[in-house]
Amino acid sequence: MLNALRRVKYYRLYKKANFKLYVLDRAKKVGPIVDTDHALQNIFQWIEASFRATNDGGSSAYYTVGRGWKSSYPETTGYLIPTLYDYADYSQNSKWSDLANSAGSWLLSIQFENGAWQGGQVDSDIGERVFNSAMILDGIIECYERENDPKYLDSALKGLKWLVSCIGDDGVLSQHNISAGGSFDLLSLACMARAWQYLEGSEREDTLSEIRRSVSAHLELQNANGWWKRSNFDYSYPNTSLLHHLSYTLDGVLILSEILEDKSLEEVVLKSARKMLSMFEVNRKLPAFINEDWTPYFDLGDKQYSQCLTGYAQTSIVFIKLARLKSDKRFLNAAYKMIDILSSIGNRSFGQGGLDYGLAGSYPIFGNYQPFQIVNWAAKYHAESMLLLLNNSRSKKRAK
Amino acid sequence: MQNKFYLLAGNAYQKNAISFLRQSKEIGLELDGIILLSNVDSKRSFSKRLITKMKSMFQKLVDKVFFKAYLDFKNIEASWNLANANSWNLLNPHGNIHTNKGDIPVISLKEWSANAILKILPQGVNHYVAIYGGGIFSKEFVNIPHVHFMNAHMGKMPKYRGMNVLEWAILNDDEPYVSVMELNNAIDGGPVYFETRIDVSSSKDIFQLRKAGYEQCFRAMVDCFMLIKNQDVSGKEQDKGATYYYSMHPKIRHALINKLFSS
Repeated sequence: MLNALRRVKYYRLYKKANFKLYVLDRAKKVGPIVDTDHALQNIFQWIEASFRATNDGGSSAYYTVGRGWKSSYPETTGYLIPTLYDYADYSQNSKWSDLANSAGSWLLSIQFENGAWQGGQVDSDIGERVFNSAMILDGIIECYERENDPKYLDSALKGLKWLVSCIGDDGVLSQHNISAGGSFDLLSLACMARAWQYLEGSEREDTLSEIRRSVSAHLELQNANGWWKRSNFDYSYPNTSLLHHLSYTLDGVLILSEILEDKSLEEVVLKSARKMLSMFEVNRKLPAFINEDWTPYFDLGDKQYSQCLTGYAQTSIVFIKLARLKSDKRFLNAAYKMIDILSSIGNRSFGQGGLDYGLAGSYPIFGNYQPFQIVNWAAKYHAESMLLLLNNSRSKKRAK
Repeated sequence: MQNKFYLLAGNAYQKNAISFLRQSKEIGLELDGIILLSNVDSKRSFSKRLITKMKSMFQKLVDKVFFKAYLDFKNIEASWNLANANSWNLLNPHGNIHTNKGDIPVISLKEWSANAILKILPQGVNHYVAIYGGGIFSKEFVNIPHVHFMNAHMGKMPKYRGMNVLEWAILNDDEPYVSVMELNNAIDGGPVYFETRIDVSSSKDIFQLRKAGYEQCFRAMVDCFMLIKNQDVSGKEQDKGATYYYSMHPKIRHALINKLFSS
C-alpha cells in the first residue's frame, strides 16, 4: 500500500493525463488500429517532440510520467539517425533529414579524443562505452552515406578503431561495456562491420579478422535450444533474457550475415526466431523476460508478465527480414500482428507532449523494464519496422 | 474386432455436424449413433450464467462510459480472426440434429468425461467418432485405446498443422489437402487415416474457398469411415518435420485474395 502511494506521488498519477494513461494500461485498453501511414505520423510526432525537448541536437532518452523529459541520449540518437533519413525519403520531407544531420553534428561534437562515445545520457558522468559507441557508429556512417561529408567518415573510422581495440583476447567486448558485454554485442559488431566496409588495405583485413573472431566468440552464447546467455542487464532477473537484448542480438546477426555475406548466420537466427514465433502466435504476446527454457518469467507475479514494446518492434524487424530471406510468410504474418499491437498502443493521446503517441518501456506501463518511461528507442524501432515493411529502410551493406 | 462409427456434436458446431450427417446419408454410410453434448454445454447453473451475463453487461457499460474511444486487446485479436469467426456462417444446412438424424440413435451426454464415454462406448469394439465439438481433448480421452476420436483437418500432414492452413497452402503454391487424423496428445499430430486433395477451382472468393474446404472435409471424414468399414485400414504415423501455421493476418489474406481472384 505504501509503495502504491509512493508511486502515485512520484509519478504524479493524480494528474489527469498521467492517471488516464495508468488506468488505460490497467484496463488493457489501447487505441484503434490505424494504417501504417497514420502510425508513422503518430510515432514521428513523438520523436520530433523528443528532439525539441533538448537544446543540443540530440533526442531525449525518455519522458518519465509525471517527471518530464530526460536529457539527450547519444546512443539512441545515433541509431535514430538512419530511421530519420528513411522517413525523410518516405514522407518526401527534408525536415527529417535536416534533423538527422543536426543529430550527427551533435554526436561529432561529443566524441572523445580516442574515438569513443560516452554511456548513458549526455549529462551523466559515465565514461566511454562499447555498445553505445557502436550504436552511434551506425548513425555516423548513415550521415556519411547521405551527406557525403568526410568529417563523418573520419569520426566513424576513429570510433571503429577504438571499438576494435576493446575486443578482448577471448573475443568478447567485456571492457568499457554495459554489463561487461553480452550477446547484444553482436549488434555492436554489426555496426562495426558497417564501418569496416570503408576501410582499405591491410587495416581492412586486420579489422575484419578481429570482427570475425569476436563474432565467433559471441555466437558461443547461444544455447542448443536457441536461447541466448548474457542477453539481459546483469542487475536484472538472473538467468533470463530481456526481449529487447535478445532482439538486438538477432538483428545484429542478420546484419552481419548480410555484410559479411555469410548465409550460415541466418540459421543461427532461425533457431531462436522459430521459438519466438510459436510463443507469440500461441499466446498472442511475448514476455519481456524469458527463461532459459523459453517459458515466460512472471515479473508481475501471479502468473502475469509484462511486455517489452521495444522488443516487439525489434522482433518484428527480425521477422520481416527472415520472411524475405527464407520466403516464409509466417514470420511476416506475426510481424504484422506485432505492428498492429504497437500501433494501437501508440495511438493514444493525453494532451501531454511526452505521453502523446509514445511507446513506453513496458506494457503495462508499470512493468519492470523502464517503468513509467516513454522511451525513444521504442519509437525508433517501431518506426523502423514500419518503414522496413514499406521497403523504405536502407540496407547496412555498402552499395557497390 | 468390429468397427462402429459415431458422430459427436457440440452446440457450437451443429452446422458442421449436420453437414457431415447429410454427406454420410448421400454416400450410404450408416452411423451407429450420434453423441450429443448439448446437455453438457448448458450444464452451468442458472445463477452462474446470470452472474456471467451481469458481469458482461457491467463491463460493456464501463467501456461505453469510460473507454468509448478505445479498444480491448481482444478486439485487435478478433480483427486477425475475422475470417475464422465468419466461417461458421458459411454453412447453412437446414434443420437441426434431430430433424436430420433419421433412424440413427441419439445419446445425450450429461457429463463430459472419459468415464461417460466408456459407459456408452464399451470395450470389445473399435469405436470411430467424428468430432464436431468437445473442445480440446485431454489425455484421458485420447488415451482410451478402443475409442478413436477423428478430426478432418484442412491441411496435408505434417507440413500444414494449425490454423487457416487451406489459405496458407494456396499462398505457398502448395496443393490444399484434407487429412483425417486420429486425435492424440500432440496438436494435429495423430496418425493419418485418409487424405485427399481439396478442389477449390470453382471458388470465386475467399468465402466460397473456405466453404468448399469445409464441405470437402465433411466428405473426407465420410470417405475415411467407409474405407475403415470396408478395408479396415489403420492410421499411418506422421513423418517428422511438422510446420505450424497460425491465424492469417488480414494483410496476408488480402495478398492471397489478390493472388487468387484478381483478374
